[in-house]
Amino acid sequence: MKRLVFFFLSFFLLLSPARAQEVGSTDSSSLKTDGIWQKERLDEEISTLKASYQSQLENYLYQDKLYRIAYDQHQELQTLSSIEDLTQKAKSLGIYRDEVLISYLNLLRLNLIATEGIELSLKNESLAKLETTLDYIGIHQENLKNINDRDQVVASLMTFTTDQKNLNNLANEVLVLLSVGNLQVIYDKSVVLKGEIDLYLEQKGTSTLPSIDRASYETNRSLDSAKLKLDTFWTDVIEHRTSNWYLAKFYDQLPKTLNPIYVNLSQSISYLSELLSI
Amino acid sequence: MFSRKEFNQTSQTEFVEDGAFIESSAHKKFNLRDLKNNKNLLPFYILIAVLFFFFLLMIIKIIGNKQTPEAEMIKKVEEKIELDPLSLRANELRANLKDHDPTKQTLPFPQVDLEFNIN
Repeated sequence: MKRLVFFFLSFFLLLSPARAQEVGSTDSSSLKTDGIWQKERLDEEISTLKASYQSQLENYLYQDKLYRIAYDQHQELQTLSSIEDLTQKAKSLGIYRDEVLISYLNLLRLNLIATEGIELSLKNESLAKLETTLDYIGIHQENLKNINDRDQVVASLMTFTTDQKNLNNLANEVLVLLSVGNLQVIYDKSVVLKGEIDLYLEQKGTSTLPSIDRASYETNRSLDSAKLKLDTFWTDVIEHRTSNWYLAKFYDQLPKTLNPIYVNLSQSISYLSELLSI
Repeated sequence: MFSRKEFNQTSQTEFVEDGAFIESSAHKKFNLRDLKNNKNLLPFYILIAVLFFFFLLMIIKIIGNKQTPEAEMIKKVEEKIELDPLSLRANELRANLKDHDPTKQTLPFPQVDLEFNIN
């Protein structure tokens, strides 16, 4: 009886690691599938939102024209009806503006979530700021829809102007993160590809040839140069994160700041293609 | 041996009477110059159909000849891609890098007035 119990125990103990491994491998492959599925879903959401953002922007621009006409008419006529017309047009314009800004900030938010190469603490900070701003604009839009009194409309529009004076800076900050993050992703993928090319050349038996050795060395040098520039950027930004809108200030200098990294990466990818054809 | 057919009629009356017969027999043949008056258009339709069929065959042959070298090229390119996934990845990276050129901004801030008001 004891031998039988021992036999069954050993049998199940032997089975369980195999099952755990199977489950483990299923988990990792399902995680990968989930990741791909999530990325696809995000891309689809971004695409849909971009289309509706474009049409909302067109509506806003049309409303803006109507507002300008009403404003000029009121300046000229100064009648009660011109005041009323101007109030209504300003209210509509405010609502449309909020709609456009909500879509735009949501686009930034989704792109920020979808981009992988961004330093996590910076990403989370920007996401939090975007979400706070989105909540504010959503509430502002709802309030504006429900007010009709001229003074209330004036107050609402003025409050918005005061509270959201840094909206442009927030957008610039996110755009800088997206630009650098995308280059970081390309660098990371280039490094992985370089490793696989080295393995391929080793299997082929050509990795020790002087020409390939030199080409490989130059490719590594180019990649290292890109890495150095990227790391310097992230370190600098993290050091100055408490400084007001430090990251946003890079926006105007973005081509100047990122071009050297872009050139290094472009060179590295060309070298990788050449390595394969040697 | 061969007798020449006497077309010359001495009697003008007979000639006039035969005129109607000669005209009516001409009607049975296909008149290309005056299509609307033709009573039997079937040979014409058959002729057009045969010509159209040959024309179609020619066009199919020409297109087939054109496609063949292109199809071969496509196959070669596909084979090349299948044989070299590492090169394909390098190409994808290059395209990806081009999409993220820092001089191009895909999401600029919208042209909205943040400061407008009634006053």
